[in-house]
Amino acid sequence: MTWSDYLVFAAAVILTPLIGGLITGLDRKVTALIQGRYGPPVLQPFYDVVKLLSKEKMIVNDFQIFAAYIYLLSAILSVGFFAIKADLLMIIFIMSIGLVFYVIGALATRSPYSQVGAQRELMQMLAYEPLLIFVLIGMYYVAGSFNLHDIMSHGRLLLDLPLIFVVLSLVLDIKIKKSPFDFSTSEHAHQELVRGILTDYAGPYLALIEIADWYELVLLLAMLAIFWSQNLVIGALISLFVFFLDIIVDNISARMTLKWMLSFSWTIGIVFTVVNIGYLYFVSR
Amino acid sequence: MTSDLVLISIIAPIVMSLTTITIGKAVARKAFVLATLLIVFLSSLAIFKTANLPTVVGTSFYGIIDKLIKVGDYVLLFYTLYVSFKVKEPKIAIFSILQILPLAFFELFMLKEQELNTFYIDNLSIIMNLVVSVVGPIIAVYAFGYMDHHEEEKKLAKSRQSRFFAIILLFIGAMNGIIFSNNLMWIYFFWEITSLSSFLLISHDKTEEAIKNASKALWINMLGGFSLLVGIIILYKYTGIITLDALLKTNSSYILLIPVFFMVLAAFTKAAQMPFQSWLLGAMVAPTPVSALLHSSTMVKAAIYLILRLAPTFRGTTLSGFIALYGAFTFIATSILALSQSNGKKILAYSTIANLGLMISSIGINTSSAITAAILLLIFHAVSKALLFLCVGTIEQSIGSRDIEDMKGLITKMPVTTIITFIGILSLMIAPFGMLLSKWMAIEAASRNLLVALLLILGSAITVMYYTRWIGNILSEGRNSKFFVEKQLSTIKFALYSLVTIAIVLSLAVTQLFNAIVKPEINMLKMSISVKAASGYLESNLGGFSIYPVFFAIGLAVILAFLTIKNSHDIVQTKPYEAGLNYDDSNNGYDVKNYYLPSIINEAVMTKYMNYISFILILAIFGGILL
Repeated sequence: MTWSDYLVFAAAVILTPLIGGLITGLDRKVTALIQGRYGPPVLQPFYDVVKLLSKEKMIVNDFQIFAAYIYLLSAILSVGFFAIKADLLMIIFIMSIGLVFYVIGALATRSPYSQVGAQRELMQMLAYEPLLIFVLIGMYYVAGSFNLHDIMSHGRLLLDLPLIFVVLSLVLDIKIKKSPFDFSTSEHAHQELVRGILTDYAGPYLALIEIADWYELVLLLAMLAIFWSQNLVIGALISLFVFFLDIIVDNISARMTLKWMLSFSWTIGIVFTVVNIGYLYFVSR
Repeated sequence: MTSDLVLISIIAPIVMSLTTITIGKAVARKAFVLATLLIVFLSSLAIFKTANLPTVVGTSFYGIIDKLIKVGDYVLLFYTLYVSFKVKEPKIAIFSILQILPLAFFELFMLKEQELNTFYIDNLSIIMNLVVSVVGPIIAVYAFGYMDHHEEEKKLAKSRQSRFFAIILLFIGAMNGIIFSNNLMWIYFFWEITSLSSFLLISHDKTEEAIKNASKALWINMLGGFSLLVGIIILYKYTGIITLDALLKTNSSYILLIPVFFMVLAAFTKAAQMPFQSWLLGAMVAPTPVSALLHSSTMVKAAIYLILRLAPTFRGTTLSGFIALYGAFTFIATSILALSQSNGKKILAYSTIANLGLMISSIGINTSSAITAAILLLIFHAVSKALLFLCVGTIEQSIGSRDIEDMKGLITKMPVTTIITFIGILSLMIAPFGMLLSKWMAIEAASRNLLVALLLILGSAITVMYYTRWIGNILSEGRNSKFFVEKQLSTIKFALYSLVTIAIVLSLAVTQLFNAIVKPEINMLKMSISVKAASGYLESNLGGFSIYPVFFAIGLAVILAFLTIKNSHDIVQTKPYEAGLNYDDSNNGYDVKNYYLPSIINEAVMTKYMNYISFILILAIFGGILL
């Protein structure tokens, strides 16, 4: 790594939560408008996190503290590596470290609500993690490498990998737990008294998880954006559009079953990936 | 010099094993076994330090050992024939006779006597030897304490430990024999010894189930032995080759692939790949050190060794592609089956088979980064799996169950073992530990082969799921308990601590490990080196992985958490949320079980269909010879 790499790394680590929080705020605002409410101010997520950080440190189990920290740090690390255009598969592997601890932190508390939430989060990971790597395989077939640098030099991946792009959009939807995939915990749009996997995370540690979620949201949106790396402004608009579609779907659909999610995501993932890569062969001939 | 050391590493444990069986006194036996293990360990270090690699060396003892082995072959086969009548399993008899007759014909009418080089030593042999001679003895030391406790539980009148440790030593010696032998007939002989010793070890407790499962293990492995013999005979008939160095020197050709197929098939049986997996699953009735030995450093790794050895002969063939697919299929199939299990040992067993499938798949991909991945997987898997089996054994002797549902709240009962188990599981399933680093490399190497890549990715995702919830179970507790160091026997402590240390240190030093022993092996295979490693950064032509930042992040999280817990007096301890009910922990008012997905995965039905598919894939591999 060179000095400029370190700078980019640091800049990404600092800016990402600001962007992530802002997008979450917009999400809440848009959702409210769809539902005919006025909604909170756009900066509300920041107010929430600041308030949570200053709250009492309430824990059930010491391990939760560790889990929250590692979830945040691995999210930060994966965003940083993304910013310096490292190996994408490594980035996904690093991201999953945090997720594993996030789940274990909930399982470690022995509340039935946390535990069921954690089991469901595991099912959600099972549904989207392989798809996320399928996306990388698709990118590899176009770029010949897993390095983000080489992948981004390609310019307009969207034209070569339209179906893979759909797969990644599906990953985003499952990852951010929007309906119909809001199993492990529901997001703000559907109020629930007991928040699944998050039930026993409280105060500052809940804030850390919230911030980590922002990092991961931005990471996934950035992965969508590099499908048009020729002009990243257009890329960003495309990814925000996908996010907007997710909000719409969130508001017009209801929670489905875990089994449905698993078969739906794996079927879409496998079929779309295979067809898309077959298409690549066809085009290159 | 080197040849003498190698000779010691093979002969010493075998000879000492014959002596051990006569020693009745516990203390004397332990001292004797310990001395032997030390010899094995030191000789492997000495070979590693002194050998000029790669090398083919002769010894003056070749002739006499060869004669002993020729006699030994028949002794072994007739003994298995006898075993077959004793346990009333005709399949064993069939496969012994199927070996005795061709063997006799081969040695009497076909094989020409000649003086051959005795040992074939390269970096792969060294790696295997280190794995066997480091992990194996640690497991044996663990068994000192474990077997005492085990026999107490079984209330045996007369200790049967002399027999037990004798077989363990024999096993280790035979493994070294497979690893270093140049003559294929020697490899065959030692291969058969490992099959027979695993039978003796699995049946050790003499219960009905133990004998049944042991006979199953024996006949499946005898089938493998038969296949290996057929491979060697065909090879000799058409090419006149009987040694490893000659085999590896020939240019790969169509005729070579037929014997190679049979040898690889033998390896599939030993690696318990589908549809042969049942013997390794049954093997868990044995005392835990046996499972640890079979699953980690010995037995199944002999299979991986053989396929790795043969890899250059089928590089770039259709056969190789099908091997990759077959391995990947076993990987995902057994991962799915592991998902449906709550028996800790069975989860580990399925995960072993899956990981062996991953290694075989990598070897089938057969590019330099795939071979690198396979070798690294072999090393890391041996250490982590041995550690986990020993952990489960320790837990089982304490709580009386190996079910992961019964391990809930284990951290309050045995904190140290729980933390070691925790680290052991992590080392199998998350980056930056060596297993995941190798998996990363395997997936990137497989990406040209779309179907294989998809199977490997799905299987990996499932792996994460079944291990994560296990960790969740052992760490779950209602409220913070005071950390204490539970009482453990010093031998058990030694084994657990040293294995967990090796697992962490090897993962941290993966680049050094690669440069020191894996890279020279790839060089020797005359493959273009596409993997570079320096200061925690592993780079291939497809991408790169830096491990230090990840270790740093985990370390930072540990420090931050510790500081928070230590310094702040404002932490408020609460009870887990139970919608206001707040049961006491003691009376377990609720019970949330893991999701085992019984509506999707039925072990028996699924196994049946997956066996069919894997059988078809093996036929496809055979068909791959013609294409």
